[in-house]
Amino acid sequence: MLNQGNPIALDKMMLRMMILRLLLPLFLLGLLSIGLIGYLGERSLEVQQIQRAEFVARIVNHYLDQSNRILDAIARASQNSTPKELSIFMQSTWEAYGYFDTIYYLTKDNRIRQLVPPNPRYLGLDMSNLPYIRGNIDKTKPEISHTFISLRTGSPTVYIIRPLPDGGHVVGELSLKSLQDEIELNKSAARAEAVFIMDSSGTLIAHPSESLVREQANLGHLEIFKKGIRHATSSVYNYMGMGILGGAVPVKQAHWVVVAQTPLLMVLGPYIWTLGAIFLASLIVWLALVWNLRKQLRFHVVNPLVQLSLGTTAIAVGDYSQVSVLAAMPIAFAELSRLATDFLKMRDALEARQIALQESENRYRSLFDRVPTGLFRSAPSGQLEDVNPAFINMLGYPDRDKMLSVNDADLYLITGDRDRWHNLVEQTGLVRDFETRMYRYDKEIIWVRINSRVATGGNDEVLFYEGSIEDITDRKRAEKEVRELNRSLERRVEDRTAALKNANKELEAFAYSVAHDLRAPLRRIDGLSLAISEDYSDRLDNLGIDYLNRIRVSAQRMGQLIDDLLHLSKIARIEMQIEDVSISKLSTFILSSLHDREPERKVSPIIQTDIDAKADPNLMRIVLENLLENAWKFTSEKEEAEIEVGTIFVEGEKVYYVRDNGAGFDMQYAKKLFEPFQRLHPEAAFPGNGIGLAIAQRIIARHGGRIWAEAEVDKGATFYFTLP
Amino acid sequence: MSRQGFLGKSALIILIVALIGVLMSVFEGCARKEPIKIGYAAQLTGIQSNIGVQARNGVQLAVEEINDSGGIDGRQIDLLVRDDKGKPDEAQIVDKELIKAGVVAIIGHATSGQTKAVIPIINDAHIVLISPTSSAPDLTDKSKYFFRVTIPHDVRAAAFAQLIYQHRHIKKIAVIYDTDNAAYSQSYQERFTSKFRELGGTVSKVTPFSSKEEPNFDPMLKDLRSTGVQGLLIIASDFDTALIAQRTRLIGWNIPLFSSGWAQTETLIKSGGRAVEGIEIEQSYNLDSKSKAYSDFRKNYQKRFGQEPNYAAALGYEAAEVLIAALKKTGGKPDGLREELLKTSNFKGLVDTFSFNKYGDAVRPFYVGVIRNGKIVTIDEIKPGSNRKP
Repeated sequence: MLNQGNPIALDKMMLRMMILRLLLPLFLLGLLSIGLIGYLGERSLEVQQIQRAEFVARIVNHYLDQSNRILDAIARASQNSTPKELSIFMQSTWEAYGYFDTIYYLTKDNRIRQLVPPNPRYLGLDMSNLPYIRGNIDKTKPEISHTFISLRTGSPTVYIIRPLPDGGHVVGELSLKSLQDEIELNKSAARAEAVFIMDSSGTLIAHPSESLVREQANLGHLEIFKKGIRHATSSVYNYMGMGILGGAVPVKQAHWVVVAQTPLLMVLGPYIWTLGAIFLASLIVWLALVWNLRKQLRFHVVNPLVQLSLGTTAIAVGDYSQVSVLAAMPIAFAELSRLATDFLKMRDALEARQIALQESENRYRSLFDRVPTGLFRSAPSGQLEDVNPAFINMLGYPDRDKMLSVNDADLYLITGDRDRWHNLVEQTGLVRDFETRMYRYDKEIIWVRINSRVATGGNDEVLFYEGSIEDITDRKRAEKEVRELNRSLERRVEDRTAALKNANKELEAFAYSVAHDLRAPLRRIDGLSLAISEDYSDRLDNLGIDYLNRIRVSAQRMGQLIDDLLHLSKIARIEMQIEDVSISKLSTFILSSLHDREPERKVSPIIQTDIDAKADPNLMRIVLENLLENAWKFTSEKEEAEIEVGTIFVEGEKVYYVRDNGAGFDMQYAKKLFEPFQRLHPEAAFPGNGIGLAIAQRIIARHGGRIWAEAEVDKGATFYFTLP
Repeated sequence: MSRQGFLGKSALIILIVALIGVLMSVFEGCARKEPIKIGYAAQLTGIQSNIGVQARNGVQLAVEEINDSGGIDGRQIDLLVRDDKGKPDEAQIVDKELIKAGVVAIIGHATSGQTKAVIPIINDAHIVLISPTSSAPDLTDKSKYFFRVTIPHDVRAAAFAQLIYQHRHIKKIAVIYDTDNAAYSQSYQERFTSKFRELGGTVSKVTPFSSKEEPNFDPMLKDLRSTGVQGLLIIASDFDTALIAQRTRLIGWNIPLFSSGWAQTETLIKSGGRAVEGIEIEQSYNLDSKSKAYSDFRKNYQKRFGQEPNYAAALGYEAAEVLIAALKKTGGKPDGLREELLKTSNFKGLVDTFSFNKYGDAVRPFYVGVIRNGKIVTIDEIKPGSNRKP
């Protein structure tokens, strides 16, 4: 799963990015530049206002300086003139300059001595209560009084009080009307754009609107005044409900302030409108751009992606037809196009695989349903999850649902079996040929064989068990029958064997008695034949004597045969003493005694050392005597005879052998070899009674071993025997 | 995102922009939420403009103070100022202007002539008019809507006459008065004269003059001196009173001088020189008060306007204060304002408390001061409703 909580749609994200990454920075940049330009514009405007104020302040200073100089001149004149001359001088000065409404000349006790224009009403008046006269300490500098509205002219007016060195003052009533005229001359059309002059209390001295001056309007509350009275300054403030930018310059000598101000809106108005319009236009363009971009994005990217998503969903539920819409979508981007192509390819591949899977599934389902072996899948809890019809049939349930409602533990006859199977399957993962008994639906018990395995998930947890189950009841029954049959057979064999043994013993006893009984007549035949030949030799011709000799030979031979037979049967009856026997030593001894008997023969014995056997030593000697004599005999015609005794291992079994390079024999008679009195060669060539091998065979048989021979005519023979 | 979603987003942006605009305007609106308009009309130019200007300053100071403290219920007060130029017909014009501009009340006028002229107008408009300084006795009972924070001068003239006769022991007195402000000076002179005579004193001569004509006072004063009086009452403006006082001394007539309340200003002292030392002034206001409220006011006023407040400034301030108090009760509306003003009782002024009687006239004490060392010093307080010195 994707771990994102709430992923946002592409176009929404784009919009958000456009706003956050594009619009907002642009907006801020715009605001910043507006602010910066505004600030710079405002700064230059402030400087401009200060310059305007300075210009007027210079005029005011000039006006006051000029007035001071006039009073200075009168003051100097008063020192060296008669009152008459002074009066004329004051009059002419007053008329010439016209700055002053009235000029007073005060005596030491501050009474008016002279004034122009002359007015008898004021002559002699006591002016000592004028503040700047009463409190004047510095007697050399002229003082400028507070402004007041002259009752006569209605204009703002100040007293300029010039102290005289010897006491007394020259006082000029200076009208400030000309400053008002100056201001009005440069009056602007705009109400709030103005240059005006205030006195130290903020009362207007000159203002474009003269009535304000006459009404002694006070603007002392303006921030610009409070600052401007100290030093040249500029600030933005509120005036008559308007944002105003003003510059103020103090007129130091009178403690006045000149203010030049202009409404911010008037200056900044067009600028703000232009910027606002640009801003709005940008916003509209931006919105249009975003709208268009979004439309394009939706058409070219989002819709295909949505279709892709829908297609994926359709495929997820197995509907492969939906995706064809995608093929018809207009796709403008290579990546998207590739994605769509890949998607269609994936759809095709998926569809093909799905079909193949379906077919496979069908095939296997059919196999599952029809296979005669019961197949099952069960949960780790034992609950059966799926079974095939064969399974149901095997257990005789009426239908699949009944079958699936069963827990497999309930099927077992012996609960322990189920646990055993469970342990096995859990430990090894695979259980083969597990046989147990189960209850059928009808409570009949059947034998089954279960092959099963564990299906595990990624973390080795057991998902389910699955396997096959076979009904082996019939086989089990058959096996039981076979077992029973075998048992009876064995019993019968034992019975027969016992009978046979008895018969054998009786036969041997019979044979022995027969042989024993036959020897006596034979001896009498032989004896009598001898007696005839000896007693009647004169009476018998040669032929007769020859016949008698032949009878004797036959009788002797018969006696020999009977002895052999007796010998043979005796061997069968001898009690065996099994102990360690050295075959090597025994063979060497026998061969040396044979060599002693016929020292002229050249025979090379090749005897493997340390051949041991567990056998009866007497019987084993007889076997070896027979085999070695046999070999001695059949190599008699060889110049260089070889007789070999050894062992080999054939399929893990120790096999003893005696080999010679003598006459050999034809293998087709090999079977006859060990029968008594069978001869493969004429007696004349190799004498013998033909019973030795039979005896050897019987002894080996009595030890539980086998004996056989391999040979080829004139190439020698090998006799093999085994001992258990 | 649906199309609607996109439109929603755009709408949101526009909404935000609009919201900022609205907020800014609302913010601005809050700052001066529908100001309450108060009118002020008096002579700001011409003769006696000093009273009008100072009363205006007092009103302005009160308004600025209430605005600085947040206004009335968050509403600022907008003071509309008009100059009636001291002319009755001009007074009528400006008052109509103010009423048209939507003022809830008018403070004005400074002198009784204009006040009388606008009475019919305020009656018609049902707009309250509070005068700081109009003291004509015949304004009493002229209008339901007229109030004043000063005492009618007839009361003061009578009390002043009694004081001079009984306590200054002056039995024979002369009077000089300015006919240019007849509404005041004529009636003051008449009430003073009748009272003085009533008390048994003699008013030897009453000399009228017109200040506009700038007369030569010396002959008038010499004529009055010839009647052999013990004192002289001057009923004139501050400057004329100073001039008359100076001329009196210049002709060598060192007689006790008395002045009506009209001249109670700094100008009297500045222009009077040593000649006004000892002059006794009937005062509508105790500018010598040491009360905390008054010294604060005096300090603020000086700081604000660069000059000492005169009685007009103090009365203008009090007129504005009593109006503001009533407006606070009516929530800034003119309805019920008259009734609220009538209820005003023991209103704490700067120096003393006052109440309005049923005619809207202030009932409060007044004072008698004397100029000593260039300063007016209060020497007597006369309680309301009493013609006797306490």
